[in-house]
Amino acid sequence: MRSHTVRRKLARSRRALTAMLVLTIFLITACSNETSSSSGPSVSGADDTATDDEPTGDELVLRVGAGAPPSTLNPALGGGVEEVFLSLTYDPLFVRAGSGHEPRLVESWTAESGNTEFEVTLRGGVEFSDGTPLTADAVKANVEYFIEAGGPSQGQLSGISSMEVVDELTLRLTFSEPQPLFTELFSVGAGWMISPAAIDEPQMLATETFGAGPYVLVPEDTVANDTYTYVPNPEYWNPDGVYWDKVIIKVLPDENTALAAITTGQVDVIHGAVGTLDAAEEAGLQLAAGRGIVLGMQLNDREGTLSPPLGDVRVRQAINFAVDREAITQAVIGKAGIATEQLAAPGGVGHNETDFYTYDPDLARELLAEAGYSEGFTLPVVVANAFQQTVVEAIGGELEQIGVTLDISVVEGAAYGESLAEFPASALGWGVPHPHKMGRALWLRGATGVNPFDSSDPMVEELDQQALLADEETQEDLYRQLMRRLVEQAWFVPVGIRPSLLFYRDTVVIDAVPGAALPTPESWRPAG
Amino acid sequence: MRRLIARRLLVSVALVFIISLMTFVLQSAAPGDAARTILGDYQDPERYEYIREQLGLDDPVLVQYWRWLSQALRGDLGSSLISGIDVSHAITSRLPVTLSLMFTATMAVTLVGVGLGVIAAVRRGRLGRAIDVLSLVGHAVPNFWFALVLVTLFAVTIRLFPATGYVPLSASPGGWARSLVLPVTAIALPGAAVFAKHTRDQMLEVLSKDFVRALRANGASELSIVFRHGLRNAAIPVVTLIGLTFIGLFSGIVLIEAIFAMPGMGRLMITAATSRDLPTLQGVVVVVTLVVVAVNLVTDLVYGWLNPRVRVR
Repeated sequence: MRSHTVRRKLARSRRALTAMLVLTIFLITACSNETSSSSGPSVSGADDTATDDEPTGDELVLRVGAGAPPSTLNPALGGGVEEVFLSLTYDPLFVRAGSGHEPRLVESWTAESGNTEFEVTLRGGVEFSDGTPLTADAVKANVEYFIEAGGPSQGQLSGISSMEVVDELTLRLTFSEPQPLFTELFSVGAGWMISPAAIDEPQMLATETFGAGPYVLVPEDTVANDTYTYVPNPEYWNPDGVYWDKVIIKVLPDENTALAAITTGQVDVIHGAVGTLDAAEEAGLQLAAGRGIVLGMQLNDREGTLSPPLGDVRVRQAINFAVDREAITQAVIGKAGIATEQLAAPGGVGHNETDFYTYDPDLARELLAEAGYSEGFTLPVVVANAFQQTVVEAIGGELEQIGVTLDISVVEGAAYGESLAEFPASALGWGVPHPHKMGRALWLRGATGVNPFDSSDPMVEELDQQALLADEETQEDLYRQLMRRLVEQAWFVPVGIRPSLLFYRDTVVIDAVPGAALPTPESWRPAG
Repeated sequence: MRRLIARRLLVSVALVFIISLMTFVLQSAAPGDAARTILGDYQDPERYEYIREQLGLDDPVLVQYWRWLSQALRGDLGSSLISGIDVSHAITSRLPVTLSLMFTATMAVTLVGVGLGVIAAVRRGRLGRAIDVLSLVGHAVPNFWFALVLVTLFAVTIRLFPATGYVPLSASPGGWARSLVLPVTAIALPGAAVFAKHTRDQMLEVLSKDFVRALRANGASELSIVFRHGLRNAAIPVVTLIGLTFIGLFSGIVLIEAIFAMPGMGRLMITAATSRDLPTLQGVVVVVTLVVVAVNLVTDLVYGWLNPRVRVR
């Protein structure tokens, strides 16, 4: 029969094919392994898997896996996500230090007239990476540009009524309203100083950096949204502050990809996620935890326009009593989470030591019945992503017990902002900065963050106004009262705080301060 | 042949125009816009109006489209509304990555699929049934899950291949090939199983035809029957399948590019769509349409060459 001839021939060609395949794999693996195994003790911590650019000799390279790409490289338009990418190249006027701020490009400063007049004296001899000197005129040009560019700090900077150049290195700023957070305003964001030469041609800021920071971006080795390469800035005013010969930031948005990359040595630091926390610990990685964000739900429709039940404070309080914060935090955020009923972190300004709510579904049912909703009701909620959906669904599970049903809609991307006014409630996912800042985002009249029904409480407004003029100690007490009022009025249903995390190998040293935001890459040092 | 190509080119131009117009109109009609993306968490109404005006989003949709079109026809695809980065630059730096993935994956799917299919057709029995089952599994297995399994096994546990990243061919051919093994396997293996089944079915049909029995009776070697006559005839519908596979792979590639952190077009497109970055999205859509049109044309030409009966006179 001829068929077994064919079979033998096929069998032979199959064996040949398999042999070829194995040989090819072997060759490919061997070919690209030879470059990495010859690099000797790798100071960057990379294993002997090939990567696209190898450390040569004892070059110190910091490889970072960032959780999200920067939407822009222009400091005037950048915000929290861009910090990682921009802090390497743009030194700010003031820098975060512990829970406060320290002068950086500023030498000294004074505040007068109840936080309305400020005078800053700049450090002498500082130049931007393009050689332009840092002067008071440059700072003034920066403030004007930041306002014109329409970035996140435009609102706060618009409070500046006048600026006066006193001398080459001294600038006087006058605010129309008291600004208790002057140093914070000029730290991340508005504090990033851009060379005036680049301000004249702002389109350059999309692809190159012109700051007075320790490093500069290398556009030739940068692929937007994927890889960002930095080398030391030769004009940097503090050469001791340059720790690395090269910094490479890769964008690794998937948490599993990021973990695989760091365990195989492709990167030294990644943005951690609560989901991969256990795996990271097992892999022997170090952990740094920062302030993070508070998660839960916002009951925006406090007047009861779209959802009449929400107009009654007893209903809102009932919702807060019906939620088992500890359980949800453990389940959704994990062991790194901190259960909370308030929009403040332990150790932060405005945080109250004692709680107003307990987990008491019976009391919740009583309150609902008092308000006339013993049958319960349905509450539409809008969320922006899958993680927020998980949190709100967990809350929904608890609320079922008291007869309140959550009707969750997911609206992603650019459409989310516009959808907020169509729902009585939304997901809560906000950082926990100073209450002065948070108020202007979430709970004061004219708040520009998430306050779609423009709610305003007279006691909250009054306390905030008083805090503007008070000294630090009184301020803290006033903000604690303010926070307590928000909790009692049940404008929000906070559940827990999810800290921001960094996982890193022991070749890097990161000095995280508990309760403060995570330190940014220019401060990360090589170990040993 | 020339008339076919000429007609196709005319249709392609019209197609690109229509698709770009539809994309633009649909994006503009959808809620949200680039200004909202730029504002991020702080939706200040004054800033929103200010930015909208700066970006020219207040003009009527067709005016905005005409502005884009007149620039595009001159070769200028504009810059991203969000990052300010030149669109042509963004696309040219990412196209090689996606094309590398798509071509190697299509080749892998074809070679493995056809190979398995032919073997199963000739040998029948258990191998044939195994391929049926594998094909079902291939259909059901989600790309991204399979990719994560591959990464865990062959990148993390056994350090054979890189866990993430793409090495350009110009930088290191060995590195380029290694960086593609896991992603291509993730896309191709499920598809190859499906391909094998189709090939096998086609081969069986052809091999049972009368003319094959006649060839055998006349003493033709089994090998020539299988390859020269059988495969060539079975190849006709398979060639069409190759073309469809190439295009169909694009949607799977979006996920794979995300998991392996490869700077490709898939991610560029998704980001542009959710952030309403119109110029970038338009650029990607135009390029993808051109690629699809080109692939269809090539498929039809090959099909015509293989099957004289359908050649256009």
